[in-house]
Amino acid sequence: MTCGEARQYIFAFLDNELDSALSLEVQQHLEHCPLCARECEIENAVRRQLAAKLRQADEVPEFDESALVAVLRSGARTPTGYATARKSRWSWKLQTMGAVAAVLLLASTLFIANRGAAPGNRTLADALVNDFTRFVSEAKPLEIVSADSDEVSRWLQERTALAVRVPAVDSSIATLQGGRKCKIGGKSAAFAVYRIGNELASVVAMQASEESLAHMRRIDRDGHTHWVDQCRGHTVLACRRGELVYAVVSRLPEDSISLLMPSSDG
Amino acid sequence: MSEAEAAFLRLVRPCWRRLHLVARHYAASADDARDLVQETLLRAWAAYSPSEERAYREGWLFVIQRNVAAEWARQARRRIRLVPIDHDELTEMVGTELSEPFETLPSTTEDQFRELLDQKVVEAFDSLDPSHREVVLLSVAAELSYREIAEVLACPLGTVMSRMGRARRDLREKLAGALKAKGWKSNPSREPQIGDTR
Repeated sequence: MTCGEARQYIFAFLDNELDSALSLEVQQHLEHCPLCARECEIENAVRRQLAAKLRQADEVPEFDESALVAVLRSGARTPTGYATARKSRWSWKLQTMGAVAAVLLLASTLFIANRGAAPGNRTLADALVNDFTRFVSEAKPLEIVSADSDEVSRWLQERTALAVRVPAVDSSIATLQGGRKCKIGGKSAAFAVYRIGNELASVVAMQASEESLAHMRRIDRDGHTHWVDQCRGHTVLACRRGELVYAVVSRLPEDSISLLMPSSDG
Repeated sequence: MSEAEAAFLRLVRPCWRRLHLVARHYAASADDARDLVQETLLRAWAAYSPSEERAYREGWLFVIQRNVAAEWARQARRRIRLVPIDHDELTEMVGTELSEPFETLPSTTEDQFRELLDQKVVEAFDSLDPSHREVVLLSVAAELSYREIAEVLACPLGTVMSRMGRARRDLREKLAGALKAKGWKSNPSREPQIGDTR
């Protein structure tokens, strides 16, 4: 390794972001080159000093398990203070959250009543939209972050035991972000997410019967059968491929997400 | 304490301090920073599924924290200093080689250098481009990997690497400038001081 190469990798080397082989090469170079070693030492001194400054924690409250549990429980509307000094702030927050929860409960009850469906008897589209909105609003973690559809497919196949194939699409139109396991209707399912412009779209693959799609509008087009539904401002577009149902969920209209439908059986 | 609460606290405990450190940089006041962490944990708890305990990683909490901060910044409810992510930003990996060749860095004793760092490193950090400062913050204070930072910022890994490289070079340049301003002159022929211990 030359000095130029070693210096190119110094930042990533100190951040432990190099693979072990490259890291070893840099290490060996530093052991034999005092000038690069000096560079590394200077950079390391800057990092150590910056870390010491940025990690000064004068204002960090003590980690108090019982106080924190009280906060978590109060978040479920059993008011308690995070700390005595901050009780009033939390109390106000909880009142607001309680009011919001009440409005949401009322709205959802009306929504369900309007649909003529009993609570607890959610449709597949409801469950899919619920999972998607939770992913977006609550920043559910992606368990694999990759734009490679083969890599994401393999990961999901191994974790869900489903023969899922994540659609490979033109990256100039939609970019695969990654995937995670999820549960739809209590069953294990595979979840992949794409970015289309400024919007997200999920592709969920699961074992489900054709009857579960019966509440959706059936579309027969170009020899393929799709099902489509609108639910809480989201489009749900589904199809059957082999043993699996694939469903795309997004705030985008049907024609913008149809490219995420798997193209053929298998 | 329920098993779910205990499992959630096991996730939170190791990054409790770091969540506050990052929150303090997002929020303009210590009160807002504490509120930011509390709101983050409440949202995380609401979304937490104990059956998937092993799937959760620390980075998830920082993702939520940044989302809450971004939401508050949009609503202007709190004084939040946050740089929107520009998804059109050039994301290719830029060379991260040190911009100032070591030959032109002023030679100083280790004590002098440490004294300068002590005085100037925060000033240099604060003067970084805000988007560069955030990746350094998430790396140094939150101790996240480049990949985790990319998840927090919802941007490609290449963007993180590119910002990190630029931030480190800028820091170095600012510190070298401070050294020169103090009258410590470049002396390439002199034997290295820092690193002599290696």
